[in-house]
Amino acid sequence: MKRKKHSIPSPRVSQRSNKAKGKVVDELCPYFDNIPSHITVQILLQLPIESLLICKCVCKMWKTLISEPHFAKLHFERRPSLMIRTKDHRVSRTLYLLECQPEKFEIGTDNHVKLQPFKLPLRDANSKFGEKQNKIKNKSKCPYIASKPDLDKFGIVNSCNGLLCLCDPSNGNPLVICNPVTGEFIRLPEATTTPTLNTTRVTREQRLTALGFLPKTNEYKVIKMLVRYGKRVNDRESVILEINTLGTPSWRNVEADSQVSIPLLKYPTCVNGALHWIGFEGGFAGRPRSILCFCLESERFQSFPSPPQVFGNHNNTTRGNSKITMGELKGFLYICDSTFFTDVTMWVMNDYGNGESWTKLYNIDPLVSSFGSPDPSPYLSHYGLCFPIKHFEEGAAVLLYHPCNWFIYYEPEKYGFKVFQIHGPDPNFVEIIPHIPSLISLKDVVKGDNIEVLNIHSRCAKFKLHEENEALSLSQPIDGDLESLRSLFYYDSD
Amino acid sequence: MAQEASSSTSSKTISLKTGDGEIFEIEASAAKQMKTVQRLIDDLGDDITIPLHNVFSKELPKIIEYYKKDITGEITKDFEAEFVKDLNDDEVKVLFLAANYLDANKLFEFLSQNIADRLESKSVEYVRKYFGVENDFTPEEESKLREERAWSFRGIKEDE
Repeated sequence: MKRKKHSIPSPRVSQRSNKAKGKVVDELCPYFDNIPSHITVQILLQLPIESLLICKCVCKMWKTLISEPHFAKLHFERRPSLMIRTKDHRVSRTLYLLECQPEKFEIGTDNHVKLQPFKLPLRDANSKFGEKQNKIKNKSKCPYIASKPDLDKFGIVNSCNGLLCLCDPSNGNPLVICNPVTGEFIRLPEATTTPTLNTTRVTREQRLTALGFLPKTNEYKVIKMLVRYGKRVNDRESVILEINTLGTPSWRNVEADSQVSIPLLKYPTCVNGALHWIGFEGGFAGRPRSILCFCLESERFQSFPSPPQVFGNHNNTTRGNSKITMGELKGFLYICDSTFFTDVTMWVMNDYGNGESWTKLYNIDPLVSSFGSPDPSPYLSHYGLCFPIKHFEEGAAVLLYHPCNWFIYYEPEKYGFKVFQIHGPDPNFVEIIPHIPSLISLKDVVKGDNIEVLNIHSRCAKFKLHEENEALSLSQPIDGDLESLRSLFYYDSD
Repeated sequence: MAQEASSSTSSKTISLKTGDGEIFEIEASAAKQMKTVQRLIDDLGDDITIPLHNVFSKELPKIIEYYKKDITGEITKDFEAEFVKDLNDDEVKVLFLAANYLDANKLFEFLSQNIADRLESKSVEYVRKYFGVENDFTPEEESKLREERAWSFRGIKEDE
């Protein structure tokens, strides 16, 4: 057999063998610069988000590599995380990154690990910016500014492809799209005046907003909808639908299909270039009954198959207590039913659009089986949100949220249950936002000069809010296991 | 380093020759984990000393040590921690490149994580130097980027 010369080139050999065997840093540097980008990516994917921000500044190629949404998705798969915000009466413009790495949950009972903060813009920043500008020049310390929740706080509508849609919490009007990791944000165009209707015939209205992404055209669209319901049962709703494609300077009116009836909608989720909501019947404390879908390409509503068993289970007994959420993980639509906290189920639509492909993935029995008690405390039924963390097949992992900021991380194959707690200044409740941290630049999204891309860090970072001295931190309760939870939630512990 | 004593006669050993002319022995089962070596064995036969032009006598013993543990299934978190404990950033880099050249997947993954851990708290300049990458931003672009990320050290690390 002919001796083959191995194909891997060895350009550095002559250099090295000529020099001394001791380490010389300069020699080694050239050795690294020809490495293919997939190897660099391999290293970058293992870095935490803060380090990626540093690496973005290394050179143009790295900046492009890191800012790609695909990179963000791969990174998220290796280091799944959620964003958390304190849900209290103050402004809370800080989102905290909760990384779901089970090794990190074992920190001992005395340790508190601070969570990495990211800032959201302030709603009324412009006026503050003007006022304080002079004061900054004179003082070296960060000036504190007073903030008012009614003026400054943003509500978070949904997260799509690494961007967050923020709204005015009082009326749901979408105002800003931001990337909390890079600090960039854009203001959405001013709302056009909505035509007034004969108000005597309107009993209630629903304002709906969502941010979606259309991969086909690489466009982000924000939809804004005002649905007015008439008094009489057969009254048609009137729907005003407006869409803004990010990067354009105005809202477009779109005609909504009058044949499609719009119930109370919650949990906007963008999958496959369409927005989906769960439709609830019977008002605010109603029962989940359907899924409504809005195609971003055709800009039309259409019906969408729902997992029949899930919605059918909810009848009068669970009225008001239904805890069904919908979301997206790895491109799949999922529905999580944690109404019966003894039996949390997860459904995934394996084949998009195909109603038959709704598959029940697993039941989790986080407390009952461990304690053998058939009657868990009624306290439990009020909370208990469930978020899938890792992709469903490979060692599915789920995060469950109990009252008083206890979290249960459940990864059956490797770790079982891991319990931890989030501490903060006002620790009663946190808002959990499923979000894929991404370094996508809004400048690439917006393309062109129509919309100005602002950055929190070059504007409002100079200001501090009083609340920002306190940080959220993660701690491990007494034994880090379910036993300690039991004593909290069971009235009759033996 | 002199030749290591050959292993027991029941398992086959392969001779590897480094770029600087030294010869080391490894078990055939360990050699299987390094796909480049395996390819060379397939081409050249397992009786011939396999030449590894891009790996040197400083790195190869460490790599052999790792795979010796791997074939007996003894790689634990403690072993891995111990393995990298005394290596400085450049030594790890050299090992990493050698693992890449040898197509030794497990070691490659482990070392890439270790490099990432080491880079976690380093500055932009350090990372550039480490990877031998040139800064191709204009001064304006650079200052804009710097401004935007200036906060990233105001988080956890600075407070502690």
